[in-house]
Amino acid sequence: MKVLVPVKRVIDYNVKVRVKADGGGVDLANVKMSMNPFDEIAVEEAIRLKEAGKADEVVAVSVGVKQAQETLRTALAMGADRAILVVAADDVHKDIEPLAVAKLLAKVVQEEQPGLVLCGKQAIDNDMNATGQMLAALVGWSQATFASEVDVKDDKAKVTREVDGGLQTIEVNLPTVVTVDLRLNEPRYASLPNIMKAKKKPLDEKTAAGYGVDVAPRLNVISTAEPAQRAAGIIVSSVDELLGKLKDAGAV
Amino acid sequence: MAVLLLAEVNDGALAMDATAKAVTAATALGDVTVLCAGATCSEAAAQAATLFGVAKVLCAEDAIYSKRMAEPVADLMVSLAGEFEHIVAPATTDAKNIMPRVAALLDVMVISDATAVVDGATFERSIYAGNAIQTVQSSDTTRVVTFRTSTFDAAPTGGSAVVEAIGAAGDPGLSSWVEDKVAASDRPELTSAGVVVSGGRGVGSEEDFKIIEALADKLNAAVGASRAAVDSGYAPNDWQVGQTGKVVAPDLYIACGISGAIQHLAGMKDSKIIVAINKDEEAPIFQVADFGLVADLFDAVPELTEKLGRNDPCPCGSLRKFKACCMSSGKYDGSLRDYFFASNPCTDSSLSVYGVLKINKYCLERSLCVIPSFWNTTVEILLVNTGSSALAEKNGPFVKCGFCSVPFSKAAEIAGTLARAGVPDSCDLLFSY
Repeated sequence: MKVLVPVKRVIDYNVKVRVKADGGGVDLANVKMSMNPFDEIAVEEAIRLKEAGKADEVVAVSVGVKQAQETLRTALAMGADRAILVVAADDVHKDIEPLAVAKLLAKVVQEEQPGLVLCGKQAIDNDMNATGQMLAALVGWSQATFASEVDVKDDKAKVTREVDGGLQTIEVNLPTVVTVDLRLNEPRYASLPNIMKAKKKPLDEKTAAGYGVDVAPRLNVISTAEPAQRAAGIIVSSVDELLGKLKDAGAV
Repeated sequence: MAVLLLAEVNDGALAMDATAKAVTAATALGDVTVLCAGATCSEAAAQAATLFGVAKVLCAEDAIYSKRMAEPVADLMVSLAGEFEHIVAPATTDAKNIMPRVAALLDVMVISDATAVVDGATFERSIYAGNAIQTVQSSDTTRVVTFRTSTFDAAPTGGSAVVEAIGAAGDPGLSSWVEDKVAASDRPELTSAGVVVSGGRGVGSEEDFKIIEALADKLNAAVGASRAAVDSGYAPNDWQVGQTGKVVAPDLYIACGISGAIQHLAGMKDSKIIVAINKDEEAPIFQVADFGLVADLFDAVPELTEKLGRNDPCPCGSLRKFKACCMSSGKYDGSLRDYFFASNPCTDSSLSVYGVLKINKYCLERSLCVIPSFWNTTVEILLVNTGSSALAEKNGPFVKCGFCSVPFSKAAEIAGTLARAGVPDSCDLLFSY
């Protein structure tokens, strides 16, 4: 079985996000970029499936700017076998919407015919939480979102999902799209030899136009603003003082 | 301008709070039609019909919707989509699973976790874990939106929309449900609780989380946890507050041993009052806290738990201070709520109640209304007739007097409800919340 893992290049999760002064978005120029942390978990899970003999090839795919090559190299260094880059934008500030990404991924799925698509449940930049579900809809597959446990057996996958009330286990027919949550696994670090080897692994480059997919945004971003800051509070010196303040505020 | 709203229905029961909040957001867009889907959901549909702003309720009962699997529910919504300009839902994990699928099938974008409605096409939403707020305008003809419930007030009840039963769409047969592991809890639900007490990595172990839970029980609060605490195995995943967990906005949020990582702040910074207890005075949580206490949580939290409510009137209705009444007489074992209900457990398994409170209307007005942890608690009042009156002959020993959503601080309204129900003063009250 082939596993397809879509990965996204996003601002590194340790970097403090700065909104541009003119309200035109978040400043991404000269900022450290990394693989979306949820996607790292998906790559790790795909590699573990291969190591367990349940998958025979792991293909990483990224949709976005040319620089997403670096993200794909990271996936290759972790253990993916080959990579596909779909160039859909030339400005690093342009975020391709989940719907367009899902349409492009659907084309890749048609070409590659994977038995399983494993992706992060959301990207930490736009926080949309949509691409996996949209891809499943477009290719008419089952979906299992927010996975904390994945067990692939024959033509089915048993997936435990993190839901509001606790955990839900479902069984989905393969091929399927699984979106992964934080507690599925702990992604490995790429070793130096593997990073060197990754440079020689195949990386195909495609374009959105080549697939005939229109990536024009459906949502027009009118403005981007800093969230309202909370007024500075006070430091109390004891539990008694805290209780007094809470009583004054009518909170207890 | 019609809106289709997917109600949150779990195993036939309506999640009133989440649905009512989404209704508030949706009424800004047009006439709201609520869709209830489940194996059985006529009760949920009837309840949704009481929300103000709801014009109509569609009730789709079929076994294929019993666990709300994304594929059949999305197909059902797409089959209904034609006449609606907006298709919306509260941003629960269920809706986040279903709605993007609906959007893709309709070839439109989804607007996830909207925090405000600007106009019919324009919404605000937070990005980068709440570090920026984006205003987006949709150019799609059908707008698929999920609403972050913590930023909207719940729509009041008292309406009476028509309920229409509809047939099921096809079963795509792609997936099946295996099991749910739902953590049973007597505590209020995290996303709708008035008070939340959360613990972080500083709590140090699953065992020590008990001191967080004790404070929560004293305040009738929900228990939350930071991602660090959940990842370390101190707390279950459904307690996680943060961008990737639950987003909460209670009246009071008490963060114990939580440093305040950005992703945690994103999940609680809209709380009305934030209290931080942490021994590291440099912890970023103090920058958002209204009241910060630099102290070891293992000293401060038990002290706070013990001192809370000592000077409040005693819940037994004696009108004396709690510390001078039941607390000193040893009837109190650490949790006010346990104290209320321990003496008289409810034996009727058909009722979701915690116990029988032996107290009459006078005491309710005079004492319960001054216990702050019960304020703003939605209660369902059931009456137990202890005497042999006409009521008991007519309805049996239990009389349900209706869903009462007044805050306890307005005890007079409860008394009025009781009076209208023709309840004699000698009745005991049985309530759940």
